Amino acid sequence: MLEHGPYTGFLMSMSLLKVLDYICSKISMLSLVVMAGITFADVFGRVFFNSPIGFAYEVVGICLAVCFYSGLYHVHKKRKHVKIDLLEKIFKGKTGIFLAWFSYIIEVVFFSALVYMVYIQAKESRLFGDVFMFLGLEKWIILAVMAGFAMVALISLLVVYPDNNQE
Amino acid sequence: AEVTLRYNQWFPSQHWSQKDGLYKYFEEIEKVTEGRVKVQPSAKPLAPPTRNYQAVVSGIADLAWGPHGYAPGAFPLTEMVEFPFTNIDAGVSSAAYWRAYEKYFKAAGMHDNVHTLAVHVTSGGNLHMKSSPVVNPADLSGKKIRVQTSVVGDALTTLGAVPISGSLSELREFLSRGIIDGTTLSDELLTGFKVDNYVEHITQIPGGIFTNSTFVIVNKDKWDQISPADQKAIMDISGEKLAVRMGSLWHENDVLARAQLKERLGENYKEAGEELNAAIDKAFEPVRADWFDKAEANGVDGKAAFDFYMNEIKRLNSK
Amino acid sequence: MVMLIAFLSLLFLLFIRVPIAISTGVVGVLGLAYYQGWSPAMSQLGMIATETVLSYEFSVIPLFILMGNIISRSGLADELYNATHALVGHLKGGLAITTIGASGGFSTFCGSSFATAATMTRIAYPQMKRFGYSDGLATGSIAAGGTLGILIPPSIALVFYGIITETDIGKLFVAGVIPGILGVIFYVAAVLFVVHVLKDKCSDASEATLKEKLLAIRQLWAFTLLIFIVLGGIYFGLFSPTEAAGVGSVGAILITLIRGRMSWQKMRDALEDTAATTVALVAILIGSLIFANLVNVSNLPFTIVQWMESLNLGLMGVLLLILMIYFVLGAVLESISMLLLTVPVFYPIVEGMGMDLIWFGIIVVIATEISLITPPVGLNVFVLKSVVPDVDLKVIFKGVFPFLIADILRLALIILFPALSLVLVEMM
Ligand code: NA
Ligand code: NA
Repeated sequence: MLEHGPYTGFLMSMSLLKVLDYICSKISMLSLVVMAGITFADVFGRVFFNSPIGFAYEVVGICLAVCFYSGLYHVHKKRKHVKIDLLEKIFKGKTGIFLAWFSYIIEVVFFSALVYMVYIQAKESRLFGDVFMFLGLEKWIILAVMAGFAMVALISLLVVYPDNNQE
Repeated sequence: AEVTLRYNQWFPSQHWSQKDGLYKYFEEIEKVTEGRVKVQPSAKPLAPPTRNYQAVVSGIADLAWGPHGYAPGAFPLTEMVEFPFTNIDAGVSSAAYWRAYEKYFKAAGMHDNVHTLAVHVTSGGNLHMKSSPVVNPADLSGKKIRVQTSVVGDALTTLGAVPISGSLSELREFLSRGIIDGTTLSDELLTGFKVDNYVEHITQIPGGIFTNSTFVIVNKDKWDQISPADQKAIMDISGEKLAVRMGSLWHENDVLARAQLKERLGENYKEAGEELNAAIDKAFEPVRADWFDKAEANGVDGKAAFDFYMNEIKRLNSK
Repeated sequence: MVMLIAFLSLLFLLFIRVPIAISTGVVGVLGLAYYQGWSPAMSQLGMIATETVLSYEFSVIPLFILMGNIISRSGLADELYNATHALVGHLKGGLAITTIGASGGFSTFCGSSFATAATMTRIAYPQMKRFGYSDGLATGSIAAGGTLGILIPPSIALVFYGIITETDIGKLFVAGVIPGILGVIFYVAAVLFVVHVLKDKCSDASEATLKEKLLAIRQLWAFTLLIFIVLGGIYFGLFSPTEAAGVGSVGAILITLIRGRMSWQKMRDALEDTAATTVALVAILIGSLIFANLVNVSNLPFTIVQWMESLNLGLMGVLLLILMIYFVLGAVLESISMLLLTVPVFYPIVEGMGMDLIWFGIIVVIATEISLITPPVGLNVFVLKSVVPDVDLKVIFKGVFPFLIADILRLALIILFPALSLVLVEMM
């Protein structure tokens, strides 16, 4: 799809982006495996050994969060967010390019705000001091991880240009 | 109205705690301020119950009611009222709780970034079992019991039970399908959540195996928009009065639920005996010791606060 | 007025192809900023963006999608549809009918419409394509079949309704049975209409011999085993329906591993696909929840109630009005938000007019269910779209249309004959 970068100076950062892409995609997949695995282990332990995993619920929630925010990188890069293409006729030519940029800028602004606000949530949670009850883990740590992934995903959105003819 | 307070309606609006409790209080606010302050409930939750307190701090909602325990770890001091055997009548315990809050917790900075209208307790939890009674501590051995907090979970582990953590929304599935053998809930919540028909044996723990601590709070900026005279008028019907109003309402409904359960279960509804109570008391010993440390870390003389709380309960009961 | 502007700008953004998640989110935040100021509006963005994904309740979405992905990549789905094709392939629209039936079956252990649609897309779509079905019929039957998940018990929507209105959830579940079966029947009728009257493309195989049929059925053991593990586990009280998704995923992996049908590559593809679908769906969920908060803060629900009371209509008039509101809101809102937003304000009205709340619950849930497949924001359709990105959204909505008509007819029937919802409850 979009292998961009007419500027050679980009090459260095491109390889960094590839590394980020690789890491994010692996983490996103891994969190799914953990999510399914811990549910299975919890049920298995409860049914056969009378020893459930108390924190299974919390881990599953955390996995969903990690899966979403690390997977966001890939979805941004491939511009895979679901959109409505009922009127694609007007998206040809200049109007199309204009609207694509317009939409892209809104996307960038919205996700920048989202990244910032997730970071603020982490900061506030640290002051607030709430924890995952059964894990005993402080909640702000997970929120900070989410903010970190969201930030990386934002970078991937920034280096992708709006593409009128995608998909 | 000059000031309209947006209330975060996360609990069902037709539940008695809202309809007969908070809404009546909201009407009184309007009355005592001659319509200058109004409370408007939201159609659906403005923020999830886990972020109730923070929603008020950040101004998403102006007024909120909810349990402290939904944000575990954030309010270590409130764990004092969650100890077992402290809550025979939620109205009485709520009055004592408000006094303890004013005397000990407020000064320690609890609820610093909001204006507090009340803190109160809800009714204490009992042991609700699907098919097997719990009479002796040994009856708990190997039983899967759903718990709300890790504190109760740890204590039940000491007693040989297997604590299951799970969301309240899944309680029905868990009980009806027999995934768990029982749960710790208050009687009013058992009937209120309409899961009572899956329970055949109840062991009532006098004063509760645990209790929930709750708050009624207002956003500070919004509070400052209210004139000092109206602020005073509101506080005249809040604080201990509001705590007792909510706590007593809980107790009334708990007693109703108990009567209903007793009628259906007959002698399968029993009170815990001395042996069981002693075992539970012992199981919670580490939790209590732990709390005194936490209180100290938060600048509160835990021993003094707890003694004060228990004495107030005793004093109010003897009246 | 502000809300009218909000709805219009949302539609505008959606039509110029701003992603749904961003359109609803942006309009939501701007509107909230108008009503409450910037700081609370932004806080809501942060709170919803974090709390939605940290919740156990939503985890069922990726897990069921994962199970569907593994089933569809491991050959289990091929076997299922080979067998079905051998049995009913010679009937016109047989596979589409199978898809409806399978969705209905899947709904009996899955409470979420999302998950039903996502799983069935993975399983059924490639198969119907394999046997030459048109995109419209294939996707239409899947999207519609997916809505069965919301009514056939267990149902997340009915649980929410029961909690809000304090009606017995068990009774609600029982009340949903006949309307749910009716849904299956009406959808099958829609399929027959599409293939016989509209002459839409579908498989035209000749009838298989008895030997071929038996051979195909024998192949089904692995799929049957998985269904037995998942369904049996739920009914024998080993785990809850939410947990079933996790157990089912691991079960599917184990079964395919044992049979040597799972390669590292296939596993990776399944996971990658699941992650991409999950991200797209959760993003929409977040945007939709923000927009729902705007509707909430604007007091629109209460305004509507006041307006309705001022009209002095009879019960049927009020009911029709409520349904119209559901169709309008359903155009842009996600189903659970819609339920949370409307039920608390509507049910006291109809209750005051003497309506049975269980009956009302079934009507409301069907109305919400319909919103899952109506344009422009039909979540089931998006689930499909995110799993099969090559199919044009227009084609899907067109394919869904006959099923939409079937839904509306069913809803009319349920309103005209309350007994359809209540007869089983009264027998309890
Ligand atoms: Na279902
Ligand atoms: Na819709």
